[in-house]
Amino acid sequence: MHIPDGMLPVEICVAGYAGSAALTWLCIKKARSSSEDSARIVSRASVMAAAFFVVSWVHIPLPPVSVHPILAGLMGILLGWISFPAILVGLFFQAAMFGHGGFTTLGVNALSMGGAALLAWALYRMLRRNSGERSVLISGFAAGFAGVLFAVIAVGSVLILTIPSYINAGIEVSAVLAMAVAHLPLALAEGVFTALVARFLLKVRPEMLM
Amino acid sequence: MRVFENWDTSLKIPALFLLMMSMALIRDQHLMPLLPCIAAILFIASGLPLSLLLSRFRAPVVFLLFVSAFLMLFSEGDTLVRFGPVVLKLQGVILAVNTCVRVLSVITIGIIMIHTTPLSGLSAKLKRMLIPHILVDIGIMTGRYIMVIGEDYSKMKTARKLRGFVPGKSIVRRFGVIVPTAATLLIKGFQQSERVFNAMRMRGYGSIAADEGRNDAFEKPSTASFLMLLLTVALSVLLIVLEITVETA
Repeated sequence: MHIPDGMLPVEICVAGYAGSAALTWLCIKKARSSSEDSARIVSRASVMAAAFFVVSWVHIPLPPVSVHPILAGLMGILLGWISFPAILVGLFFQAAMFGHGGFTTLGVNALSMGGAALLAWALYRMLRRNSGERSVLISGFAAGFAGVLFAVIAVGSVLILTIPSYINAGIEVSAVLAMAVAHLPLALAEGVFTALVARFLLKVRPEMLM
Repeated sequence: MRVFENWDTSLKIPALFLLMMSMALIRDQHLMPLLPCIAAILFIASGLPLSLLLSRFRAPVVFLLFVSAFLMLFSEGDTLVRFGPVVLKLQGVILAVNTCVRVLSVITIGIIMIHTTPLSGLSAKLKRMLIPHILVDIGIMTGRYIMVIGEDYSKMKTARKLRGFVPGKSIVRRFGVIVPTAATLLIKGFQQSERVFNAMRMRGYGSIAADEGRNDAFEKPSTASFLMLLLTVALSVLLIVLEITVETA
């Protein structure tokens, strides 16, 4: 899911960093304007980024295998605007500690995954009608499912569209669609996981759900 | 050899990052052999163990296998070899090899950059590199709390096993175990973040007086650090010039 170093042209990497910088600035500004001060932004983003980093080690069952969850949707639901800087930092640690993703491609990866988290949060807010369990389950599932699909389509599009022109355009589009379809089982599993975690949190700590 | 450990962080990171970007720029197959040579020389100079490099290559190699297969099978151009219905194209094979060489070389430089950077004084040095303070603080604290919450997770797994809450084979049972585990970790993280927030406020985080009170003594980088910066920048510029020259030729 993460694009490693050296895959993308330099101009795309630079554009990724520019876009990430702008979106980070915007997200922190939005978080501050909803009365979060710097200390709360730093404490919430850092400790929750660490918590999500560890939760990503939990395997979701996807018969016949288990997979690591992406958690873009869940991060969007729980962190809102702060999800983008938290994901940016989380991706840096994944690259540094495990070699997942890269440093030159950090901007592009952050835009893909962080953008997916923000879109998933927007979808969650649109679908959640009340604080009932059914509403949380449906909106949570939609956020988890959409978070994976948005991220896969973003990453797939960037990869395929930056490959040199020896490849037919029709095949490029088919490849992106094939990636999205191949990730459908993961998206379903993560949708279920996100819905169930959101329901658990609704019962135990409802103030955590944005 | 401690060449990279003694190189000042606030010069090393931008220099090696520039080198990674210039290596990522290389697309011409005639320049490709330069990349693994540069990466190998710098890796040997860093003194890092080969096992570290091989462990970090695992994830990207899986990714590269898929990308290479796609490039070799779906590129247009001359047929290199045919195995029944499967046709490998020459341009696709060249592109796949170039991509693999470039990706693994750039990753090697990234590994050197990260694994030769000491943690002491890192926060001040990153802030001197004009990275926004709030992102540096989030990064440093995330690194700290990954260890703390990681330990909590290990304890939870052990406690869970001792109480008989093992995931088992049924999907329902597995979700029934991993969902409360994940949610509990997130709740612990949330509670920890509230305690950290209160501690930061009590210590005056974010106030002008508190920021002025921070006395991170500025250590001027050594001459050797500046020399290494110049050499690395010169190498990066050389790679860029070579690529542009070959492209326009």
